[in-house]
This record gives sequence, structure tokens and C-alpha cells, in this order.
Amino acid sequence: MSYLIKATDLQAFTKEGKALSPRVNIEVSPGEVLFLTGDNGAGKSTLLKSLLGLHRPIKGKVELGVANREVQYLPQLGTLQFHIPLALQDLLPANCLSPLLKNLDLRKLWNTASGGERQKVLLASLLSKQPKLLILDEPFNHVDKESAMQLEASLQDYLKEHPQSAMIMVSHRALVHSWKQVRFMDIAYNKELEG
Amino acid sequence: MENFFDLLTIYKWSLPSSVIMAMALAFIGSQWTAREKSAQIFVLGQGSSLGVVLGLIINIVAGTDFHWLNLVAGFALGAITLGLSDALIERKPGRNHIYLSLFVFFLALTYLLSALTPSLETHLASAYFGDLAVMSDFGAQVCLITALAFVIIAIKYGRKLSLLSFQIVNQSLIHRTWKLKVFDLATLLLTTMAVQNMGYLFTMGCLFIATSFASQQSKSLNSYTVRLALVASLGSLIGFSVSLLSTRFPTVPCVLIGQIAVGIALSLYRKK
Repeated sequence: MSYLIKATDLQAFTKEGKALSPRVNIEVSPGEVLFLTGDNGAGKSTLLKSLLGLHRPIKGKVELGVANREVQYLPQLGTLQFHIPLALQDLLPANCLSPLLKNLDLRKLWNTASGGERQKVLLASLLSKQPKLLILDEPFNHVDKESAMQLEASLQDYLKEHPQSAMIMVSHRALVHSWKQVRFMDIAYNKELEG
Repeated sequence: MENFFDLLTIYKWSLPSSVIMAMALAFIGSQWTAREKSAQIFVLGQGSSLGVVLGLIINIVAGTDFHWLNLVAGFALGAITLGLSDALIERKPGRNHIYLSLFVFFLALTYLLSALTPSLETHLASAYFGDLAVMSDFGAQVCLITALAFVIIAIKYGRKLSLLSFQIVNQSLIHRTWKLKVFDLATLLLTTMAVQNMGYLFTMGCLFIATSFASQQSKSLNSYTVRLALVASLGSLIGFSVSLLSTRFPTVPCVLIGQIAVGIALSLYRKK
């Protein structure tokens, strides 16, 4: 078994049985980056959640080739205001060292942090767990250009340092096209595109 | 004053028990509020309350006096309420109106049961509004030990619990751990024990008053925890003590008003 995750005929539905995504086949092996594309509302985020068991009901089969704890997920960054006053440093594991945290005031509360600050901390936290499989949903949304470049560089560095790790990502940001190991898949056609 | 201290010796178990239970409930309420599930816990409390009433009815019909039966019935109905609401309601959009409908349904059932069992009426008032002064020593001791254990754990693992709540509300929790189940069970147990021994009003008030004040004023997790504990404990202590000054002051409203007063005082102190 060489895959990290494999989805066969995966399709997400509402509880009433309405299809929320097209049917797709996905297989990701160590070292690969799969880039899911599709129109707005095509069901990319729902598919990611279905892969992780966060969305039900689904049809098809999802098989993990790694332990569940070796998978990490970064959902779309919303405008969450959290009831408990957590500072950015509260969201990080102890002794978390990451270039993403450079020049950040980690005492700042989550509720007052910018989109870029929030996303850098969340991504630094995920990467510190050294996952085998990273699943990222629009990681560059709601962040400024400079932050987006830092986030992208840190992802690239992570994959260089951990060549056995893989990534599935939904993003509208064009810069990731420059990554060499990226495969692109348009979920509407259930097939991979030329890079 | 001598009379007041005499009263304190009478309530040597119920006073610390209600103060520590108020802290434990405040910690529970803060996490459920953070998970945006306060309406769910509100209904869970009413479900437990109905279970406690069912336990009372079984005791009356059977001519027994098994206090544990009320606890078991309250725990069981609370667990069913939590399980059903998680499975059927939690993912529905705009779910608060469903929770409120369920709350009204449980309330109607409780009223129906009390109307069908006339000897239950006095018990019902105590189960609903509670009276900390009439708590049995044994009940107070069990509540004190359980709540104290929970408070120690909640303080020690407060950050981890808050992180789990953050992941739940951020929809990024993909690794469900046994810790979540333990927290749910602790919530059920403590809520049911509090409803049974201290009443529904006390339980609901302690779940939400302290966190409402603490979350607005705190600049860090530590200061939030201190404020939460302070509003719940000091407010309960002052409220309980005030209620002892006159036989016309019921304990539970005084405790809850005490918590609100401490919350307001802390807000004013911060503004200065």
C-alpha cells in the first residue's frame, strides 16, 4: 500500500440526498501535492471534509494509508470570534519554532488578530506536528500578499524537509502553480489536468 | 453576629459544596458556550431535571427513598438528551429554536408529571428553584468532592480543553479523543448532581453567569480563568451569606445575584 489517502467514487450529499459534489477518485502518495480545482460552489471544500469524515452522508470509499493522527487539516479561515480569550501563543504547542512566527506578537488575542496572523499561527501549529498528510482548504484566503507568500514558502520548505509527506489543497492562488510536484485535478471532470 | 456564625456551622457542608459546585459549573459552562452549544446544555439541564423528577415519582410510587435513583434517572435522561441532540439537531442550521422547543416539551412533561402526582409538588419546587439550605450533608459532601475534583482537572487542563473547544467551533477537529467523551460525561454527571441537590435554577445560573462576565473583561486565558473562578466562588459565598441574614431570603436567588454583583464589580474595577 503506497498511498497516503485513496478515495474511490467519493461523492458528498445532503441529508435529503441532493449531491453536493461530483463523484471523484483521488489517490495521493508520499511526496505528492494534489491541487483540487473547480468553480465556486463545485463542492471542493465539502470533498475535503468528506475525505476527513467531517461531512456525512457520502457515497464511495475513503481509505487512509497512515494513522489518523498523522493527518492534519486547515479549514477555511472564517471570521471566528472565540468566546474564551485565547492568545495566539495558546494555539501553539510548547516550544513551537517556525519562521512563520517571526515578528508576530503571540500575546495578541485570537479575536483581535488579523487574518494573516491567525493563518500563520494555525499553519505553524499544524506543521509542528510533522504530519504525513496535510489537507488545506484555501490557506491563502483572507491574508495579505506578503503573508500569503510566507505561508506558501513555509509549505514548500516543509515538503522539502519531509519528502515523504503529501498535501491536498484547494486554493485560488496562482503561485502554487510554480511548484514542481503539484498535480491538478478539476473535480467537475474527475480527471487530472496538465500542469 | 453570633447567630450568623451559628448558622455557618449548620451549613458547614452545603456552603463550601455550593461554592465549589458553582466554580465547576462555571468551567463547564465556559467550554459549552465557547463551542456555541449553550442552548444545548440548557436543554440538557432540563432533561436531567425531568429525569430527577421521574426518579422522585418512582420513589413515591414504590414507597422508597433511594436518592441515587433520582441521580441515575437524571443522568440517563440527560445522556439521552445530549446524544439525541448531537445526532439529530446539532448540524441543522438555526438550531436554537429546536432546542427551545425541546426545552418547552421537557418543561410540559415535568408539569404534567407533577400534576398527576400531587405529593410531588413540594419536591418539584425544590428540584426546580432549589434551596441550598436544605441540602443533606451527604449530598453536599458528594457534590463537594466531585466538583472539587473537576475544578482541579479543569484548571490543570484548561488550555487543552479550550483548544479542543476552539477546534470544534473552528470545524478543524479531525482527531476525536476520549477526552471529549470524558468531558461530556463529567458535564452530565455534575449537571445532574447539581440539578438534583441544588436545583435547575442554580445549575443554569452558575453555568452561564460567570463566563458571561469573565469573557468580556479578560485579556488572557489566565485572567479569564481567575475571573471565572472569582465570579462563581466569591459571588456564591457572598450570596449564600446574605441569604443567611434573613429567613425571607432564599439561597439560590441570592447566590445568583451575588455572582452578578461580583461580575459587575469586577467590570467597574477594570474600567477604573
